[in-house]
Amino acid sequence: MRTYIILIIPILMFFSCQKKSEWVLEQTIDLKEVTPIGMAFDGNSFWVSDGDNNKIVSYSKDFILKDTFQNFDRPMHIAIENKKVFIPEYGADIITILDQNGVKTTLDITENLDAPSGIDINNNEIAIADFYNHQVLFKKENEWIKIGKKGKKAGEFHYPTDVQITDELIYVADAYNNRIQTFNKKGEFIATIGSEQKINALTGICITGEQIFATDFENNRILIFNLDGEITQVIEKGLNNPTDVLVINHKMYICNYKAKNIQVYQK
Amino acid sequence: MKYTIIILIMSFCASFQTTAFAQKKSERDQYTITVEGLGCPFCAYGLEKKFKEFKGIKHIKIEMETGVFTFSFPADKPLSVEQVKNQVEEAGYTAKSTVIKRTDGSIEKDELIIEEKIVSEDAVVLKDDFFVAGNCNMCAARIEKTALKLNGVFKAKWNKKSKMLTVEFDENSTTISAIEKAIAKAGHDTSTAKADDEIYNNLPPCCLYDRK
Repeated sequence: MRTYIILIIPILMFFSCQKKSEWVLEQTIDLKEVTPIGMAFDGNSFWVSDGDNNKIVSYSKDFILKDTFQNFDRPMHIAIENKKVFIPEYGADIITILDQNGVKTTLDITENLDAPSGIDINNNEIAIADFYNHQVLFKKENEWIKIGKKGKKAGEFHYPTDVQITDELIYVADAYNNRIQTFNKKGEFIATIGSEQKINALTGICITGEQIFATDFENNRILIFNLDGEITQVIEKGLNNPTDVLVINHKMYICNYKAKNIQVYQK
Repeated sequence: MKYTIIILIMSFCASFQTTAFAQKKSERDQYTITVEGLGCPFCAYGLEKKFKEFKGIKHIKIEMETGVFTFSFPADKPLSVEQVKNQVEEAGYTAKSTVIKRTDGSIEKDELIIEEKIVSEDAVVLKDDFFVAGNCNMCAARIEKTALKLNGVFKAKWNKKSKMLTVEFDENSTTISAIEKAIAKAGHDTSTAKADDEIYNNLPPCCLYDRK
């Protein structure tokens, strides 16, 4: 009997540890009239872009609707910095900045955008996914540089849709090359992630200090990698054309475009 | 007095013409296009962007579920059905139907009808399947339409997951090889026929299947 107990305890501990390292569905929030494409969090509110209905919507932490801002032209993957929402307007080829009072201004960019589809801000750095130009624009110390060109080779893009800047790298959702690519802040190619995963339209990304999250739009999957690019989990159940993923305070939020909902996962 | 009357008549005519012109200018034709396979927002908004090349376009609306794309355009510079269809095709889509409602009440219409084909008595009907590269519902619409347009093809169904196209066709009228060639011409590689790079590159983003 004692031997059994000694054997069972480590087995139970093993499975309990296994479960904790995986993301598990906690709840699904029905957005009703909102078709989510991109998502961001400002510390108090969630902000969701609704490309189909040309609006931006804010929610409380409990997803109670707070405010709706209209008259955008296909808003896509948004970002927040200093309580301002940065909104790439795919149809208008501009980045609009929305402040807390609902006042809109336009981000000054020297280059011509063609369907901006994603933006990220990290202190004074800005990265923009420039969809039809097959490039990423990156601003550092008041200077814009262009990263990439149309193509399938390393460092080239086929319709980039999302970007994220970390302390060291720029991550790009290279949507129709079905991969993530990373670059240093000089714009030099570093690595490719996810090429072997048979992704079909990698539209949204989120990078934390431990993991890389990617939406596989057509295959209805969320792929989770470690920072070395090794796959650690694949979520396949209950997703319906996911476009964006956000990880905040140990919770993962997934925008399901077609299902018009946000799914919340936790570890 | 005579001069006063002439001046009055002339100014009346001028004012009538100006009003009619202004009215015509402010009037707008209504366009409704049904596109098959819309599902990816990036491609759908791309279609909208393509139509923004028509300066003066307004009230653009896309219903993703039904694939219905509507807009209005100034009546004094009307777009023809052909212009609209070409613009849809340039954006990489297939218009299932195009309806233009002019301001005078007239309606211009074009529908892509693939008639149900009657299998003749001497037909030798074969059922076969083969690989066709593609990604999404828009690909499915394009592949199936291309096959069904061919003389002798009765049924065509492409499976997004397996990438296999199942066809029923009259062996006396066409061959698998001919069907594959037609599909390649529409931009989709098969095991034996490869699409031209130019045609492939003009497919909408979500249709750009992996060619490796």
